[in-house]
Amino acid sequence: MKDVLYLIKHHYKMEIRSSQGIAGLVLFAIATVYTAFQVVGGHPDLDTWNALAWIILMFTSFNSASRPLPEDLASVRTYLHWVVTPRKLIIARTVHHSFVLIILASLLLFAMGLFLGTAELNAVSILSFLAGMILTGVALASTLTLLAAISARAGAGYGLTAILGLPLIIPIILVSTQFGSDILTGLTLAQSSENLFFLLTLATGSSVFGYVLFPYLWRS
Amino acid sequence: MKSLIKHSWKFIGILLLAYVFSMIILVPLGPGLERAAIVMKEQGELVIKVKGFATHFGTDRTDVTDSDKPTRAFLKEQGGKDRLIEAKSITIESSDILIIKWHLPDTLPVKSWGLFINAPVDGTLWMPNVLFHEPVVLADPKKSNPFSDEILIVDLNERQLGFHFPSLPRVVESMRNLMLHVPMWFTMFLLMGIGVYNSIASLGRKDLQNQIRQDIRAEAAVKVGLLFGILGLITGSLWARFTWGTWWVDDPQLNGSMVTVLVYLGYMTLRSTIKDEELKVKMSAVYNIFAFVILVVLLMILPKYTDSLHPGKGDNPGFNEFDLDKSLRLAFYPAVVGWMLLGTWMYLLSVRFERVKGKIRTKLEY
Repeated sequence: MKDVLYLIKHHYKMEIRSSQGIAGLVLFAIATVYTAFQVVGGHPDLDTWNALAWIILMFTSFNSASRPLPEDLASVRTYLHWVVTPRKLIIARTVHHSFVLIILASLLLFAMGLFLGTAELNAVSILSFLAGMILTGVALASTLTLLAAISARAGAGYGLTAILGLPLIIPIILVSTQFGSDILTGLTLAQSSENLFFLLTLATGSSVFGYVLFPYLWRS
Repeated sequence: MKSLIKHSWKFIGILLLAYVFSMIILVPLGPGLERAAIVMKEQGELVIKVKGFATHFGTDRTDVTDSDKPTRAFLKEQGGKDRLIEAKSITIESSDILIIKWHLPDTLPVKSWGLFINAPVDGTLWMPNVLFHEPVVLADPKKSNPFSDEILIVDLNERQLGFHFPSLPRVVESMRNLMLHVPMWFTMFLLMGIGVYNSIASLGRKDLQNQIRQDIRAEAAVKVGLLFGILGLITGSLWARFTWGTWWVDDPQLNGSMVTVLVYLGYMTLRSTIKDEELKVKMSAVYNIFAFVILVVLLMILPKYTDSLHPGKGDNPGFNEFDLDKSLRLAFYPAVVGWMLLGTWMYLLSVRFERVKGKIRTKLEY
């Protein structure tokens, strides 16, 4: 536990030190929203708004997952191999990645509201929507962390993460889109809680998967 | 002789498939309803024109002399109490066209009604969702009770026809695709199961030689499984065109199968990008386990709980309820076994091919 916390802190420190990484992600998300605003030419209708929100979140998560991590360097990996067990490392990575995506999702929602309008959401439903985005972020993070590790080990980079990840992400995005359109059409959080439950299950499932399988990737 | 017994399962597979294909081509389709169109619906009068498929309306049974069961038609409440409204009159236009009249009450309690026709020769023919009606609660149910109390099942006419496949509304001749489309997926499940078993085994092995052995098996199984999956998509797409009207619809089962095939294509891509043999074994095993769980969740668990156009999913009736009758079972089960045996044979051949390829490669390297 102590090691895991330390590793998360370490990840956070690295993030601060090379802050252009996360700044690039934020810039990507906001620039995409702004481009969408230019393309749509004003405030889109509810369905379009919903679709844009989740698709931009999806691509932001891909971007964030495919950043090169320092541990993927052979020398750093050898060092880490001696000091921490791979299970601790994957937990720390997933938690860290989830945090990054939660921050990105919040900023994304803010940018959506700024440029594309708030889609008739009131204060409560915005918070519900944000809750859905946060859970989606966690689910995406737990799936993509393992896949990014696989493609980093394969030495193939961004392309492979996308090829491996996209089909796995589709179920998550389908559930999220359903949740989003529920909230936008005026249902409350409780009425759409089934979708949140699905997201939670998907997130837990892929985290457990990463936890079980990551050591086999790490060892060599 | 020994090898003949050893390989007999292959012959059995081929024979089964030959039997299935001859059944698919030769067995005629039994009677069914093709279309039902509402001709008139006003002031309590409902007239429906029914087009049958291979039906024998107006023909009496030859085997029973004192046949006193005439053609009767009912509207059946769907998703409610299964109440029936019997038709007032039936005009037989030809052997496959009926014009049926009902006296409807002022208000009908449920939204959708199915049509049941009980014909002397053809037995009970059935078509769902013939009439849609806004649900209105009867003001005074005692005053007029239009529902006939008798239970349809008691009064069934038995079919007096030879061996045939059943005909489903809207499915009709494409029913034969059942023996091609569904076994593809079963075979794919089997092969992907073999694949994931070998992947797990390869993670458990200590030395590289054994790991590679298992990995070759896993790869071969996934390759052949993918072929069956793609064939399943193609046959399914064709079937959808003829029953649902488009090549592809937004349906959880279809999304699930597409995603599964994409995931396994990802597996093949992953394999091709890694050069290092040991790493390749490990990573593709990990990804294959991941992919199999996705397959189980998307194709076996999720569609059962969501609305789907497929039979047996969501609120739809399965094929079992009315239609997967004796004659279809006689073709369907051999088809499943036959395709599975063929798939296993293809898998074993693929394994041998890969092994020989590996041997040649090592020979060339030295």
